[in-house]
Amino acid sequence: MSSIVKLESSDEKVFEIEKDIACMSVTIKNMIEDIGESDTPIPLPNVTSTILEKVLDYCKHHHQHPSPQADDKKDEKRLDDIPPYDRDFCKVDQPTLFELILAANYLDIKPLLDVTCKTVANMIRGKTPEEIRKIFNIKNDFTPEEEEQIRKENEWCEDKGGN
Amino acid sequence: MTVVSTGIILNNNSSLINTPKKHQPTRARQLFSFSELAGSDLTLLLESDILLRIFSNLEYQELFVVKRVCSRWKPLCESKSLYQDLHMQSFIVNSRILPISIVKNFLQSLLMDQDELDALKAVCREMPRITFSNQQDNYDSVSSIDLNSLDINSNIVTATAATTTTTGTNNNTATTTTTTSTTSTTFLQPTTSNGASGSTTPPIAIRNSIATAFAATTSSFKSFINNSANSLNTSGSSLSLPPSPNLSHQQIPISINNGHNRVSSLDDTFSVSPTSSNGSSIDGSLTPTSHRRGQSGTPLNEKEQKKKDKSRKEREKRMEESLKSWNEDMIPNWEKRKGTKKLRDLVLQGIPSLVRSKVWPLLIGNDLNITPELFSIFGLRAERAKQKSEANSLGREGSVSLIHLDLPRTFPMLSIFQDEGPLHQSLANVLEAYVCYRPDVGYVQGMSYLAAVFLLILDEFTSFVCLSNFLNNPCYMAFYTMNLSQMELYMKAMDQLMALHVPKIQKHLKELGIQPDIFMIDWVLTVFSKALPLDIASHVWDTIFLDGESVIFQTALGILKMYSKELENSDFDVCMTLLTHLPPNIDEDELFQHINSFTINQKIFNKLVTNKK
Repeated sequence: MSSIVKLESSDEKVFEIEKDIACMSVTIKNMIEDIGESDTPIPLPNVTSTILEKVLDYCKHHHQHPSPQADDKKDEKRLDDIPPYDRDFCKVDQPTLFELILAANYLDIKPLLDVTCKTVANMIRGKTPEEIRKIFNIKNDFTPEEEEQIRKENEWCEDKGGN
Repeated sequence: MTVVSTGIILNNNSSLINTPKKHQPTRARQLFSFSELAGSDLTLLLESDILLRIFSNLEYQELFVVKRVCSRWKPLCESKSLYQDLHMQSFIVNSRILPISIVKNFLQSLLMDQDELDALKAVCREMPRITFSNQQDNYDSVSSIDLNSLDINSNIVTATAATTTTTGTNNNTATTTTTTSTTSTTFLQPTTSNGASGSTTPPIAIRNSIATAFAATTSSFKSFINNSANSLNTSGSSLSLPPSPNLSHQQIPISINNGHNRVSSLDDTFSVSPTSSNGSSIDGSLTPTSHRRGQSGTPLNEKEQKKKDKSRKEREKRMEESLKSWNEDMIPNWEKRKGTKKLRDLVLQGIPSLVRSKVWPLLIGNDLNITPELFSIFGLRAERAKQKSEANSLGREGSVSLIHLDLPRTFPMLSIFQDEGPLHQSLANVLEAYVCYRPDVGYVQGMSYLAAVFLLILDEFTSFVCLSNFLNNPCYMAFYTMNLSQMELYMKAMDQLMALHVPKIQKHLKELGIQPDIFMIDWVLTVFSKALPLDIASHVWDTIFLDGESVIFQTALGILKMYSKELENSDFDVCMTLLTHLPPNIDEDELFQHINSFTINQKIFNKLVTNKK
């Protein structure tokens, strides 16, 4: 049994969690190493309590069920390999998903960052630009000329010569 | 506008630039939930490196679409880091859709001589004009291109920092949107000027980090020159090969038994696949407008539903009858029935999945006389090749090490080929044996799909026999050995067939600049198993085993015809999306009606694909 660490969310709620689990976040791990173990809660000014709670759930689950495929397969473009728990975990509304991404990035929890990013990639996949804009409320800020320009870039037709 | 954003950075967030230490918090205290921002563009809150991480999950073809979303995304989608594992085959397949800067760098890194370049050009058709003055200069010019993209990158970083800070200090959404316009204008300049050195000076820390990242890329490109296998290997070097049990190849009799069990479970597998093999659907719950063209969203009206039920019942009945005549007549009397019209008709309506395990090997035959002994010899050789250094192995035997990278990507939704999946090792065994059987071909992406489809139906050894015999055909060999001039012929043949049979589509796609290779190469390499739902793909395979590779072209025409309404009238985006992601709910009967509405004259086809020189 490892010692307990206290974490304080941006809205000043304090969470108590096993050190081993908390250290799945590289950021927290580094902080603990820097300041040494103490009873004062570690402030996490970028993470709200709602999100922190979810993140800790994620860490707890993966601490108990370590996944065999470690997080070092980073180059693979695999979109469909999200394990069931993670898939359900990412079934949240868009603002929450994005907040989770930022939290995972800030806390440096690579598996969580990977899985949330993959989820967003899945939302993008197989859609036209217009559909993607609609999903994320993105404004099309290209002028018609610029759109034409982009199209041209990929036409760079050079005469093939001969046949 | 640039001034504004810089101002914000200096006030609030200078730590981002000066100390890019990863674990340092860079955002201000967040006191609100993003839910309050629902309905606004939340992607603006994601730093560029997060967006890059998201994009790194996408295929090149998808990046090509995604970059047209907005001006912030475009340079990101063209970042070098997303194209690090570009290799020869994916280059050829994607040359038209890759960003110019990536194409340039790739070509320069190849250090090819003019003849080789010409050969490449022949198959890629459209490549930017690059003059190769002197090999030595290449790297210099590469890095000067890189400096430009570096300016762009640093702009992104600063601009994003501005965006995040705004929201971080709890300003309202309106501010966020104004930053969008700042962001966009800042980006566009360096991108459009394309080559003129950017006027903004990037912070040194970032310049360095990007330069280092680039150095890594160059070195992996260099190693590519020796062997395309190598480069993939380096990029995935963190992956260790799991030690396979030595005995795996002596278990053939057992796996044959398994093969029979598998047949009964096959229908289950297939009934899952129509939605899954297209693989675009995990996200459902997240996106309000999740499916394109609302296919799955709009409920079928009752009449249509009834019609569908009826045709499904008819098909089931047909299959039952067909199953009976296969079991009672065709299979026992194969030698007599071979080549008869009755057998032909039975195959054309689709072989019932229950007897595919018997019929496919009969249809494919074993002209290569592959024996179980041979199979186990190759298996052992593959084990050795995995341990040996590159230098001692034959031809592309070294590419066995690539196989493990690809296995989990094969029919990912079926999960049986994943690391722990029941057919994972079988798939590895078949592919590894093939690589050692044809070291001249080696392992090529796409092959795993073929082997996987065979394995879903047959046992290991028979799958190997079928795969080897099936691939032993000029058409597949051209694609799998990347015989550029031959591939070119096949693509031209497709173009001509399209002009003949679906002239309107051919004309429209040509106007849009979509050449057949954009969809055909994938269709040929995986014989539609990636593009079509698995049950339909298997039906296509039935007919291919009967009539040969011209069926691939016939099927391709059928698919085009089926979507002629869209393909004749839609814009570039819709056509590209459609061709690279066929809808998962294709109606089998309808598709085959279209396919069968064409007859490709074998003589003409042969003429089209033989070199006229």
